[in-house]
Amino acid sequence: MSAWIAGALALPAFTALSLAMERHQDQVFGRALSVNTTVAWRLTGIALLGLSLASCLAAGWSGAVAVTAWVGVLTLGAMVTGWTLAYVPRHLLRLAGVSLAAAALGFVFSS
Amino acid sequence: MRPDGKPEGLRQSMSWLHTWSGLLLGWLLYAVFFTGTLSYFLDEITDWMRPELHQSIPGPQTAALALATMQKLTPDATSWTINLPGERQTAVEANFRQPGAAAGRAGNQRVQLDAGTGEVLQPRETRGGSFLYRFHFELYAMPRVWGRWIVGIATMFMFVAIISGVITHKKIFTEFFTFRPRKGQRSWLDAHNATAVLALPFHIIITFSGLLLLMFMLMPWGIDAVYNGDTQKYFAESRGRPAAAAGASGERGDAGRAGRAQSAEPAQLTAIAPLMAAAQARWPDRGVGTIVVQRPGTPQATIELREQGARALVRGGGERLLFNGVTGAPQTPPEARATSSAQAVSGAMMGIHLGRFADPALRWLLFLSGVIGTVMAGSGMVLWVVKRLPERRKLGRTPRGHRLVEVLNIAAIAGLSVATAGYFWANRLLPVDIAQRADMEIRSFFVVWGLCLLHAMLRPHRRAWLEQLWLAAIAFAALPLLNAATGGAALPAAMLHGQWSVAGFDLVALALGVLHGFAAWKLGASGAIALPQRAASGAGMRIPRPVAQSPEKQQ
Repeated sequence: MSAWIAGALALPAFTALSLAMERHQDQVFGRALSVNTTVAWRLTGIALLGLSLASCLAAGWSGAVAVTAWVGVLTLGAMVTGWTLAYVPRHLLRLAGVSLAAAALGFVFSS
Repeated sequence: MRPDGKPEGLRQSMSWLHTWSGLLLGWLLYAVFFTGTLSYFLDEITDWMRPELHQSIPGPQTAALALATMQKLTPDATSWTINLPGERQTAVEANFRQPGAAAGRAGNQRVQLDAGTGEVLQPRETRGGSFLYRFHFELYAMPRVWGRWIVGIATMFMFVAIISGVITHKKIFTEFFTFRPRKGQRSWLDAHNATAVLALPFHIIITFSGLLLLMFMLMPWGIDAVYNGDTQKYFAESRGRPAAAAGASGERGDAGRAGRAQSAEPAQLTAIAPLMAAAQARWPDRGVGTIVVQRPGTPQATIELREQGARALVRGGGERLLFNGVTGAPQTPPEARATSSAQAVSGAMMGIHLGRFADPALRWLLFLSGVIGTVMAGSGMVLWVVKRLPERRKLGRTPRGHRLVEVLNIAAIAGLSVATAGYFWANRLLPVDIAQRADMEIRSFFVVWGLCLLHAMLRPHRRAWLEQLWLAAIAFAALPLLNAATGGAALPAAMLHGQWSVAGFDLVALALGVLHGFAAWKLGASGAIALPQRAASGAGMRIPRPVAQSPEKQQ
């Protein structure tokens, strides 16, 4: 279960990180964001990545397996973010929101 | 290396290194990645390729039935190791050792049992997934050591290509999420970068652990120096046995015989059902994976139950329960040996490479990462061709070297898919009782691959890509039908009965069919649009469309 939560967290995490980059701010919002907002997105992304690692570690695997799984989850999350930005950048926020909600639901139901 | 004689920057020299180390062994590395990725599903492939086993549907009595059959089949064996069906296997695989059998794996004999009836099944002769698995590090039709050397050297080149690729990549962070579709060379470069960067940890782990696995052969000097060339002693010690007891498993067999001689009265084995229930209660998620019976039929008999899928990343980590084989009373299992941290690290590295843990979510993640790695290798080789199109246009003809790379790309990428599908088709279409059946299957694989190479040489570049991709798409997508038509469990039935090894194979085959069809369709569509500028499209890998979007400037 926690593995799925980790995956569902990786997508919003990378979305937030990509929104800390000017190029993608342009794509998603149509303009560059202020320095403060950019930093906020970056911190959000880092925090979500940390949560994703935490849920991998909580999945009952040994440390090495958990980190390996996390690496796989990161690859998937970053890939989906990249594809969305390439083809439907305007939907990125919505997709990330749905994914985040799914992670939250998963967390509520598994605990 | 620059024609104008100016000194070269680090990035340029690394770019040169990356291009040529990648190209030189790219075709081999692609094949290693492709077959290696499929090997994450080695057990599933082997199961699918033995349709005789598909009738085996596990039930609550499976363990008892299997034990009853073993009792009849080999009452004198010193041990039985019974692997129960699970997500990755549909029949019962039983190993047994006869008294006085050779030590180690050589002394094992193996039978397949029907999980629903306990009957012995006679599967067709096939190498199954092992062929693809072996091919990915030993190649074929050459002495093993040669194959391993070649793959080992290619792996080192892979390592070189990864490192030089990272140095060459100018905008590893600013283009982290960047993929610009329909822009020709730019898109290929983006795809190559994305598949490389986003799965970089996986690529590094898999390449490095691949080197570790081949290390004993590539760099034997450390062990040679410490153990004076006695490699056996090293392996015995690293497995935690004192060197003197290297033949321990053989001795255990003798002890079993001694025990048998002392006991005049053969003892009946206790009923397995209560033990299974106890284990099930302890491991509600995964249940029992393996039953090991030592000295069956004697008063000293023991029954050991091992947790399903508990082969953790560090080997030997799983939980086990030990029972007296006659009374069924629980016993304390011997303490597991503590692993040193160096061993734990190397064990974990190799475990990751081998996917030696049964967690399906993780296996799928690794499989997907492997697919991404395969795409990375493939896109890199296509990029080599696409990048040289302007040069070729200026020249007005195709240099022989470029044509060679084109042909090898088609055969190595599309041709390998066709050959792999051909291997599975041969498995079902070759008569069951011909001599050297397993070899014939493998030969079919290479014959199809050779034909693909020939086809790529004879057909125009674009046509060859299209035809082989479509062929691979159809051949993969039709595998579930072929399976149902030639005695295997049909996809719906397999899913219904929870035979996930068979159903999983069929589903992956369908996915591969869709993937190849999509690639072929994309390639065909790009040609249709750009028909007027065919000269410009050159090889026709894809065509620059007049694209107006994307705010960023062309670099």
